[in-house]
Amino acid sequence: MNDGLQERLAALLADVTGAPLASLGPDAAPGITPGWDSVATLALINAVEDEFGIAINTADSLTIKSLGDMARLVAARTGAK
Amino acid sequence: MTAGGELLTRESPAGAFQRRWRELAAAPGALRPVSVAIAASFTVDTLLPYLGCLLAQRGLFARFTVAPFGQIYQSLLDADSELRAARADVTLVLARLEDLCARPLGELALLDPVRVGEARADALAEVDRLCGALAAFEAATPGTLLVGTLPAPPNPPLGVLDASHPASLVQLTRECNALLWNAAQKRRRLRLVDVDQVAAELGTARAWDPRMAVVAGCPWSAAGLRYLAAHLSRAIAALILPAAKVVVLDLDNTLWGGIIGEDGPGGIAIGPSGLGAAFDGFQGALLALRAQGVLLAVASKNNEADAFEVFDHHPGMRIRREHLAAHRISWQPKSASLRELADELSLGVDSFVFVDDSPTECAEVASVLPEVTVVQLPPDPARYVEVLRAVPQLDRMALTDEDRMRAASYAAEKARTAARAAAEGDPDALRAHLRSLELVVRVRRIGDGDVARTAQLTQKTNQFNLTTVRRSEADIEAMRRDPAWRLYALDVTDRFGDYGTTGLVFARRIDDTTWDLDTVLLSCRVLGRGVESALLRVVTADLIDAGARRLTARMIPTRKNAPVREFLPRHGFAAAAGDGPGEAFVKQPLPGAAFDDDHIAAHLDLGASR
Repeated sequence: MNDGLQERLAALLADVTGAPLASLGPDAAPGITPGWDSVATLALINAVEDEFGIAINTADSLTIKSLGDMARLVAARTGAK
Repeated sequence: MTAGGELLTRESPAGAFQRRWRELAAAPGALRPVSVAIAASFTVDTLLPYLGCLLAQRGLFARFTVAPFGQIYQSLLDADSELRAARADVTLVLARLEDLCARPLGELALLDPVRVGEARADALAEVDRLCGALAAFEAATPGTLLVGTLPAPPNPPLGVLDASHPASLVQLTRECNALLWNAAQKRRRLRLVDVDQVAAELGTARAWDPRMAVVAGCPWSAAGLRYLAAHLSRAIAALILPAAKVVVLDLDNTLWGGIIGEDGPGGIAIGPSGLGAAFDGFQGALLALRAQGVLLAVASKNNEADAFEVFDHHPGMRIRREHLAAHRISWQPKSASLRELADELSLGVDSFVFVDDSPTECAEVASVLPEVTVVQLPPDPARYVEVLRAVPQLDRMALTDEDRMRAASYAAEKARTAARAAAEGDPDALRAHLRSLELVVRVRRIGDGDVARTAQLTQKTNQFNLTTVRRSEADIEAMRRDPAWRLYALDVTDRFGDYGTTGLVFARRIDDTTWDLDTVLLSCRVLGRGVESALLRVVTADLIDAGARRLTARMIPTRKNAPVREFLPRHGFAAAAGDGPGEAFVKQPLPGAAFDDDHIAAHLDLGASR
């Protein structure tokens, strides 16, 4: 299940950054992954909110330093539901 | 277009911009480089991929320099700042009232009746200080300074009361923007871009994203950034690229509703009421373009007599026969009509915008003449005006006197051509024709108001141009300040109308008795009338007064300047030894033999300058 989550998030990140999907592992991060700037961070948050039906507040969004962080946040929210 | 892949618009997804911008940065290809320096009161890095991609679609590759955010004043005023050192083609300044005037706005928010007036005055003084810094930057750097208006702060603390309260933030923003507007009226290379209007167009609720302000240090939403980039790209491209010169129009279902050949003059829709009002509005928009210097022409498949019945007699028409610079109304392919119109107007089809409601005609023109900007009108005529206004090739960031007079001068040219044709092939008749033109040549020193037109003439004149040295407005201003130069402009009128400023001579003092004619050029519109002789006669007399006993000049041949090749020998210049490009000439003594220009009333007008 966790593998599936990582893949779905990577696909969303590829959409908002334009980065090649294959290059996006859990360690993909703003400032390192091409195209992942702060606009992409917010676009990713919007996309994740739509895709998983959860709300991510700004305080949480500031803690996201990698795609792995995002996966942990989403897993915690969707698991808690 | 120029970059591979689909056309990106302000509605395209962020990822598509990011990917395209990386591809462009790696391989800009044949795009024309343009340097863009940016100083802003917030983080603008997120704007760059959007702006870069949209400029690339206009054939421009932006090389960005971004000043540290929040340092607008230092960047503008410090001679060693990154922004000043960049000497960019376009320097962009984007500020917000909230960043610029944080302290006065804090005071204002307290609503103390005594302090409200002071706080407003402080905020206005701050923006006035910004205007001063902008003026200093404009004077010290060669490019264009593009300044965003201050966007009205979203969600003002007074809420619905803001509109009427003395501490209104929205009203204060308007007054600050009026100061910027005043500054732009005084400085040609200080141009505004209406950022406030961009936010309004998108809607305040969509343009700003409070989360972006926290996460990215940039208050714009992703959609807001794309709209801002789209607007900025139009302004920047209009500063760099030449604007389209001609709009070529279809008639049936373009200028009026219905088909004149079938419905007749009584059956078409044009006029103030009903569906005709949509076409009435479109004709008004086209006449507004004409006032900006865009020529209107017609390419229609119709019977010419039917069409002109409408132009000449239909009471609902706003565009009349005399507004058309040229027309082709026949049954030939429209691409052929456009080629003929280009010949008749002496313009390239790359300066044409073709407007038609028919997808078939648009496709035919686009495939045969890909240089033409093709605008296919939408099915609903009420939307024609917004489609026209969205054509970026029609954007301009400055209007010269020539632009405003262009349509009238083409109309006068049509009358001249007819008069000249009557005298064709008979030297005596031609001489009588030239005399009948009542040519008046006024030579004057270049003034403040001439700088833009002067630079434009050096940039655009290819045929009668002795040395083809291109000069920027900053070059012209520097030469005006240098006492070794005398810069002359030439205004020509005849009985048909005013040609405006159509010629230049730049003379440089070499020593006590020698002046060099660095630049001699004439617009092709005034060639073949002896105007060049009158110009040289008047300039020579003025230089003799300044001590000149000999003139030097050189002719640098180009592929296009055949008309100027014989200019120096025909006016008493002899070939001379000399190095450097082209052929050197000298004339001594002065003024030499009289020229064959006694049909022209020419004078030096030292009092006049613009």
